[in-house]
Amino acid sequence: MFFGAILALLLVNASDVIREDGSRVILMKNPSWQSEIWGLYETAKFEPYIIFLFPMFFVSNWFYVYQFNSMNGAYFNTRTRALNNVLYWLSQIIAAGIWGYSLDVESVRRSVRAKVALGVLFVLTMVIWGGGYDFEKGYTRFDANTDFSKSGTALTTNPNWVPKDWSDSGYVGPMFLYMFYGAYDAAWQATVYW
Amino acid sequence: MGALSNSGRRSANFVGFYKGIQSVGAAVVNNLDARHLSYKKEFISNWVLLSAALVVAAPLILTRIKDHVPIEEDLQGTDETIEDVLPSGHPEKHATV
Repeated sequence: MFFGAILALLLVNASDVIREDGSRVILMKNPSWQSEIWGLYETAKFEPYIIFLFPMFFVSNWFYVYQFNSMNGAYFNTRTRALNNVLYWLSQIIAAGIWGYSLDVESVRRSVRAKVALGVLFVLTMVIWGGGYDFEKGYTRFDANTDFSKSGTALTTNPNWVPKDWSDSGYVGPMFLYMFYGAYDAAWQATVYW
Repeated sequence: MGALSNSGRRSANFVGFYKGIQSVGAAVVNNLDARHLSYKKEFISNWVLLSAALVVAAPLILTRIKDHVPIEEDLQGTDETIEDVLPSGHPEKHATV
């Protein structure tokens, strides 16, 4: 984490960037807080097509709660959760690298790459979350570790539930599912930013 | 977002929307989780929203991402001029002056 923070300090200012063809980055030279708020309004007014991306924005962290709380947090024991997390974010790094470079392949026209990315993302949504559905069917919130009073608020641990360990049989499938969830997150966010 | 323009100004505005709306979504789903929404419903909400988001974004991705964005369009809404961003002798500068 410390290393990452130091690396971020080494980023060059956008105003100092000069591209290979000599062009510079288009910025607001003299921004004020009013011009920044106004910019959001102007963007929405003059480029309303950005609204089509709002659902992708909205859902881009939505799946974290299911993946982190309801899958990793509920189903596995502590050491396995830790392993899963390492694998999840490792998959992010790898997938972000592959996806990022693929989106910038210059031999394919940009408009074509955009369509391919959309198609692949849709297929991944069906395949990975289809596999996820199979896993989800295996247990419920009630099974896992929570028990509810009639009012639905009190939480008690279900004494009969034993969280799964990585040495248990059948761990490999969910492990890969979790890694693919991580890779999918990276692909989703990289596509939105691209 | 980056492919929609070459303007850092515009991209910054887009990302402003992105991070804001992303956090709204995260706040909503965390609240639902705290109310013990069933795992099944939670899962289905993910799958449906992800698929629907791609369908909604499709028209934009299919029609608005171009192979080239003219420099004048990129400069709209900023206080930059062509002289600020392109070097003398740049092909696009000659085409526009």
